[in-house]
Amino acid sequence: MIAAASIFALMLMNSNAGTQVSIFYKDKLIYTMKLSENETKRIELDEGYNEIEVKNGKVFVKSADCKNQVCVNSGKKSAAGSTIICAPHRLTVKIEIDDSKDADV
Amino acid sequence: MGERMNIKKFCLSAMLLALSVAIYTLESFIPPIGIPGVKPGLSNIVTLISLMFLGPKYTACILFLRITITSLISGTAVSFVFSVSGGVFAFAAMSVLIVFLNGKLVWAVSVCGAVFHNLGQLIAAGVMIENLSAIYYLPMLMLSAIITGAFTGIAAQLLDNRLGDIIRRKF
Repeated sequence: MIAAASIFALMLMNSNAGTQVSIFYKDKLIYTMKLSENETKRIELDEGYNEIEVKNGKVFVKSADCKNQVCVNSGKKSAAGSTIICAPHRLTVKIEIDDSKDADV
Repeated sequence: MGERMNIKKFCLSAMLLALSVAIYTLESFIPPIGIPGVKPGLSNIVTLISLMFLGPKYTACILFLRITITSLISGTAVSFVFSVSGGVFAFAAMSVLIVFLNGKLVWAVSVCGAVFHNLGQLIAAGVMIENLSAIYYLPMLMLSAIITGAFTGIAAQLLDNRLGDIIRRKF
């Protein structure tokens, strides 16, 4: 039952591509990037740094000074709803669909 | 007689603790596969074995010491918090279920333990980053828990089939 629900949720999740990358510290939005434009941003926090890069429509954490490197190993993401979490730095990178653009499609 | 039994159990739990530390350390050399938090969880075999042969009290001690020792060897404060929350959830689920199922269906106990382990870790992540976006990982973590849980459960079951009678006679 759990397996079926999980597979269904996974299929639902990877359906459409996102347009915007939102970066949160705790529950505060601290920075946004567009998935359509290549950009590298170094986020400096009290806990450490994360270097986040958008390249060819995909976002990934290029480097970070946390010890477990879970965020770096999370890989490249492009689907709406995809999330990269760096728990030691309380940082969340989330792909969203920009509402203002979505309205006239 | 009772005391002698306790010493035997004590020695067995020390051996299991050493074994689980070794397994956990070996497992940490396996490169990550791109999904955070997904690991085979091989040291869960030891937890299952000790639940079957030694009962919940010894298992709780083995599990907590294993987490503490491995965190001191290769972990961080953050990984310690994750391990403890996962460990507490998994232990609670498995120790209840193994009594409920009367020691049968070990693989089901293991799957349940793995599911609760990942749930515990997800809750720890949610508390740590102070938002709910960790829930994105829930389906993947549940799927991987079912697969790895079944694997460790079957491994523990095989060990029980082969060595169970000998260990039960001696301890």
